[in-house]
Amino acid sequence: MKVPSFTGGTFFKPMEKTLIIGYGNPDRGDDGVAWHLLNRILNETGCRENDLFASDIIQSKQGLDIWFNFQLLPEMAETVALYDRVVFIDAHTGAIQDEISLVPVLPQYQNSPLTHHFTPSSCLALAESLAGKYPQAWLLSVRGYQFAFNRELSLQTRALVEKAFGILWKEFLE
Amino acid sequence: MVAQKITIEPVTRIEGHAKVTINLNEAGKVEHAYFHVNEFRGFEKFCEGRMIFEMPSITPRICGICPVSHHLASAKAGDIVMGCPPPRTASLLRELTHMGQIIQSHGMHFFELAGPDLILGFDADPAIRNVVGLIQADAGLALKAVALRKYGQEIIHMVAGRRIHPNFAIPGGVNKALSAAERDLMLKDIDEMIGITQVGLKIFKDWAAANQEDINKFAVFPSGYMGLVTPENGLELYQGDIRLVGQDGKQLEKFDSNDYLDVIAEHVEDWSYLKFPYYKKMGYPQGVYRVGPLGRLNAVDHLDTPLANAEFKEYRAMNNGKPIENTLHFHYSRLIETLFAVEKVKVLLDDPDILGKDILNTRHNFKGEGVGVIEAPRGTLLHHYIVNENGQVQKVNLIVSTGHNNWAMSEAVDSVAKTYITGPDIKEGLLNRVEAAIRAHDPCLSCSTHAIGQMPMVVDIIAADGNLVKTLKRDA
Repeated sequence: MKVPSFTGGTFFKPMEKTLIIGYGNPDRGDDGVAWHLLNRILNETGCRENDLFASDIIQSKQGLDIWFNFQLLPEMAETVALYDRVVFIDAHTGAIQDEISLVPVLPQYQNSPLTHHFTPSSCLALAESLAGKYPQAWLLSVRGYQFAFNRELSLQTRALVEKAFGILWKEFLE
Repeated sequence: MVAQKITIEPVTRIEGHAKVTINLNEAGKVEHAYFHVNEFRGFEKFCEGRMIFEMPSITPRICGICPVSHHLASAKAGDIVMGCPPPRTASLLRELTHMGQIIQSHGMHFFELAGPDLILGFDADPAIRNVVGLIQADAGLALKAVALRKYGQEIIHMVAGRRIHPNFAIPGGVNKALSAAERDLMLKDIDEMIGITQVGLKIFKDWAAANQEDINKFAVFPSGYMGLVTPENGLELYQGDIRLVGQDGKQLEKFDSNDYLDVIAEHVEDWSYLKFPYYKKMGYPQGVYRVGPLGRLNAVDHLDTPLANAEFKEYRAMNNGKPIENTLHFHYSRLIETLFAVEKVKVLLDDPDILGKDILNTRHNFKGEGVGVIEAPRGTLLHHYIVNENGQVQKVNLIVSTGHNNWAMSEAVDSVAKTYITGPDIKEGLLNRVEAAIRAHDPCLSCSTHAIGQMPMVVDIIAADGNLVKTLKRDA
């Protein structure tokens, strides 16, 4: 697992406003791992508003908002720019070696060669262009093993969710 | 020189959804180019056994790009299956949601995907040939682009109640009425959105005037054209008969969506998982046709909103009233449709029935089979369900917009490759043109998966003897 050295816990001011954006399709197996992770956060914080499909941004606890979407969208950049730090959560394939990856994200626009596809780096680049600023940002991704039409996670990815939640909690939510 | 094969494969998300193969002959010229869709779509099977009332909530999960289109096509199929036509207010509200989808999808495509190619140039550095480069070039324009897309999204949110996985339309109607306050909020920004769309149209027309030569040699070919129409053959995006016109623009068929199997068949090629629909009477490939903005504007005689119709007249005059064959004019037609959709929002909101409370027909006259059709941003979308007496779905057939354009995308790639590629030493700008030929159709290939694992764009040049001659890569 890659953990950036500057996330040691003392780097952040206590009341920074954090946004956790999870995206993916919960009906395509492990592609929806972010949805499972966000639900895990809602359970942990005892948040009463818990329908990620119906809600917009949910305040999970003071200073911590969570936001679920099918995918990243350009207009989300405007909202992203309002936060001090943002954590993007997604699934990854075997193209990334680690089972759980936590990497800092910097603004850099990445072209989508053929169709609509928007990355966290692109989101930050757009935020910077639109608002003149962008938050500190990380991408937490979890290895997916099966992407069939199914709301269940594979056994392997399910086992990673709790581990990923632990990292998320320690680094960003405590 | 031996014959060679060039493969362009953007491995997006999962295992890769599409690639382009360019075969060079022994003289180094392009022999033929193919556009392959690698992803097998198993969604029909996934739906079997589900209850009919669940389908409008399940099918939007096919696609993260146009969930509203699937949602509405599914509800429309459910109306027919259950024999419960929706009240007028419900139809107006569904159509309003659909206009939101058209505005946001078309707006994003032009300003954020195609716009950079046009405004900054096909040959511009990829590092700046994107929406951020566009912002640097014209910050005001980019802000407008974001505002237009957001407006479309807000319509969906306000009318359908949920941003994602809408459960608004159900067989027989909708489950939420519109308030006067919500209507007024949407009306407030109409003029601004019309202005933004007109800015986009001006950008395209200025670009077209300066790049006529490129437009006229970039994937220009005849085909049939298809789309929904009003009874008077005006543009229709929500409800109407399907009209198919030939290469000369003359009507071949005008039919109810429930009869689509009498008119359309699907051809299978061993090099693509995606089928190739065609007009049955003419056979394959003579009966191939195009859908989406270019297909639709070639299949209609007029548009029912004044500003969009004025643009349409100018557009059709380019080829003396005959169909427009230029692939790059997908962009032009997309902008005219955006203007139409924004004007249509006003028409719908000004209709007093839009605030009605009669939004659901609960009297059923079960039919057991139905076809829902809608003009999704990318083209005609058909949902066909067969349901048993318990309300369980037994069989599903979906013809998605990108499927209708499958032949056209491959033809466009072949044409562009032959026009611009003269040998294995391919410059980035040429590659971008091949991609742009596909991008013009705004295909939806990736469906609803988003996992990271994105590979760079890879171009393999393979000699006839199977040896890899050269690999070109660039970040996707």
